[in-house]
Amino acid sequence: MLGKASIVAAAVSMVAMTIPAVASADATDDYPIPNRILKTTCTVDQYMAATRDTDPIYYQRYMIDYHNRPVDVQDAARDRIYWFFSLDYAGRRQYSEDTATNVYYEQMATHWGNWAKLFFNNKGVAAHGTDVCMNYPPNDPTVWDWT
Amino acid sequence: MAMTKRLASTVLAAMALAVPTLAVAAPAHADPDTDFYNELHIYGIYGEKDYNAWIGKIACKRLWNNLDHDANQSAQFVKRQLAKTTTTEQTYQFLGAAYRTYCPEKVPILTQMAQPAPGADTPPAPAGPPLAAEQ
Repeated sequence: MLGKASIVAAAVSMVAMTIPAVASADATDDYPIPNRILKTTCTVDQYMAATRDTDPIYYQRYMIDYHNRPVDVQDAARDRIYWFFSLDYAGRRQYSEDTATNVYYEQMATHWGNWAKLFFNNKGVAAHGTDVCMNYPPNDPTVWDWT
Repeated sequence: MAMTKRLASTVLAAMALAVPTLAVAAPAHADPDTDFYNELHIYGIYGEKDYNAWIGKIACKRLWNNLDHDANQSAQFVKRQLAKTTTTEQTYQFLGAAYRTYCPEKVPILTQMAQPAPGADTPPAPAGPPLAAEQ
């Protein structure tokens, strides 16, 4: 009797272990892309200029990494993040889902794994930047020239 | 003779010991981040060494890149990055140490700030006729 019960318990726990594994691959409203980035109405340039002031070391490291890439990779990363910011909330949320469920979805990441680190990887940086980004000029190419 | 020999070997031994000491000390002293870190301690500014070094270097870079244009803007940037308890005096001490360590050519902008602008002590010329309220 005890033996049967334990087999059932083991079977149940195995099912329980399988379910979260599947669920964890889904995106949430805050993962893998921070909610603030999904919702902000700032431009790329505004957000970058803001983080240059709010999280200068994080911004600096991203820019060093960026300038260490070949020019074609730099250009592609730039185009890709402008494309992402051109999406509305629903589009960004879908992109977040696509990248969370398929590691090969974002081709940019195969050329430069941290291509969007300043935007996607740190909730604190995203929060600080989106708090004040509306106070910066919408077009400011100098944010990419920082070396 | 034995005495002289012993003295000579002692001196040589001392020199042999001293040379590696100097060799080790010199590179450590040549690290500007360490010098900067030590100077900050004089002003009671603590925090992580690498972090403070980054902030000092970025303060210089912001001047080089024309993002900050004077010591006042530079100080505002630094103050936002330091602990909330940092005083204005400490902020300028940090700035002075950062300029001296990482961009010595920028030190004059601090001294410019300390001096009054030329002609500032001359009384302003009366501007036009007195207003109705002054008559």
